[in-house]
Amino acid sequence: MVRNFKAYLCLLAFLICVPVIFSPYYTSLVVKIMIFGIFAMSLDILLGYTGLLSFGHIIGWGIASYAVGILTSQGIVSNFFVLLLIALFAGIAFNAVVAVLALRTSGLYFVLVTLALAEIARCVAVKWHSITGGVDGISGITLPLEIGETGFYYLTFIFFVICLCLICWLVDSRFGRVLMGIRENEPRMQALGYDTWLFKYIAILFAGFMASMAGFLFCLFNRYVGPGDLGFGLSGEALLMVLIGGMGTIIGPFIGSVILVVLKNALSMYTTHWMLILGILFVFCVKFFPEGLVTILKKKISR
Amino acid sequence: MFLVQLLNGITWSAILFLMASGFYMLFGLMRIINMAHGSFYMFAGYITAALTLTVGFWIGLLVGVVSIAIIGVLIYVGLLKSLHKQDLKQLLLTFGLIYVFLDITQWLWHGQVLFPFKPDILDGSARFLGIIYPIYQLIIIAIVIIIGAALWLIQDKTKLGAIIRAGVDDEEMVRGLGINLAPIFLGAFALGAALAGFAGGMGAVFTGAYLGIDTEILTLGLIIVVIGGLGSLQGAMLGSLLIGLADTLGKAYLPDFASFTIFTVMVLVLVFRPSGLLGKQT
Repeated sequence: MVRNFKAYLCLLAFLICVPVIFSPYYTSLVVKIMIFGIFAMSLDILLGYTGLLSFGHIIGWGIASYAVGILTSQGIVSNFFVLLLIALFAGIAFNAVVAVLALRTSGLYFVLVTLALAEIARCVAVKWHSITGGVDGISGITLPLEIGETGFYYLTFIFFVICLCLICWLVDSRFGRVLMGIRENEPRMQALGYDTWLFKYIAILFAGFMASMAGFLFCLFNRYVGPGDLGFGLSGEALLMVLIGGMGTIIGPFIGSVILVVLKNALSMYTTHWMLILGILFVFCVKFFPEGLVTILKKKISR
Repeated sequence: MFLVQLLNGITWSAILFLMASGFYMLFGLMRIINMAHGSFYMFAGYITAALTLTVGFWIGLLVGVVSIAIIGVLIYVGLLKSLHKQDLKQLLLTFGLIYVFLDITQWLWHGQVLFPFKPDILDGSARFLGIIYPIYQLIIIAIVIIIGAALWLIQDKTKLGAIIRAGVDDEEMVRGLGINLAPIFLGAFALGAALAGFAGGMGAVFTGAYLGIDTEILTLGLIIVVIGGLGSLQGAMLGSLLIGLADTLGKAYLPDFASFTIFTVMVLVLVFRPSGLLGKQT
């Protein structure tokens, strides 16, 4: 069982009460935090647990978002569950193809190839404007389900809980242990008889599944999808969330999401230079706090 | 006219080679993956473009290149040096710098798209083999061939090159032999940055300087080093040629599939030669 189980219950209890306690503005902020929390957690599966830095991770998010955008704007699908299934399937499918290519490489090459693949996906999204809306993207997306703002909050909450449980399961499971073994010493895992390629591949699909969930939610939340959903900007933000919060920790990415979303929200009232601050924060964290908040706190507490 | 497109492709390959060789300089010697390399291109392009209106192309180019070299050195000394040999951290750190450069560039030039003007001497066309082709592009090709040859010669035939190659293979040994690598690393970073700056200043004449060129050209540069092999200068040359031609010819003859030509090249290389065409995984 997970340590700090009670702490997580408190967090979840708090989250359940948010729409009741806070105004709609702050409630929607928490929705954003949860969505990005899911995305950051999914990235952490690859980065923190398997030791794979994949910039291609955003493909799951972007493809799922575009699937929703294209299907709803063209009026092809109006059933919520069908939409969800298609979005998830599309996200996983793209990841399945991309992963085969990317896993031909390892180490630094892997990072670069995933980056290139994500950028190519973005270029295609921009060029294919008959379907994707090009640079402008698709706007005016509406949820094919009459649940209102509060309903959407709880929908996101349910997804968040599911993902949190998945991560908790991962940490304790044999699958998760193998991934962590691959992170620490892949040749040794191979020597022990594990097919590390297969494990890495499944990890990418798993992470892609969660990223697609996040992308699906965000597209409906924002009522918009665009090439930015496949580009550097979001990849970097998610990466920073994982870094700040702590790689390889269960709640770290979520903490990172809290910090970054709140910071971005607060700062954008005073300045337009959010990117500069993000960049500086990034550099600062890599140099001075590469372990992330949760890991540092854990160490302090266990003394 | 196929010959025109071919020359366009070679010109683009030349610019891309400047980027790739700068990259190679930083990685081959210091194992630094500089994600901000595209940002160097963009920033230098903007500086050159902005200055051509006031002080002319050549001074603009010079200022652009020197500024980037200085900025590069500052980044190296201030941030990267202490993370020596920690590849991932250096990668992440330079990744963060992309945002910094993007913001500052937007701040300074408000998202305009700027093009430096060609200097008058180079603003003409040459006639040969039945076509008319801009001199500017031909000069770029010539300059880059010279630079490429110079880099190759330095690497293979000079003592400095030998030190550098030894430093890549076994840094401790080189230091043990009493050779001071610090100024060499510094010089290499400055040169790598300068190459990117030069690419930006000269390339912006036809690509333009705009927000977004940083990631676009970074991606192309990364694809080149992946298919050419990270640790090889010749790989960078071959890769640049392939990608430059694929990109240009793709855009000319298959405009709806432009990104796919590059994608296809990359896929083919990854499937058949995953460690790059001429690469050695250092």
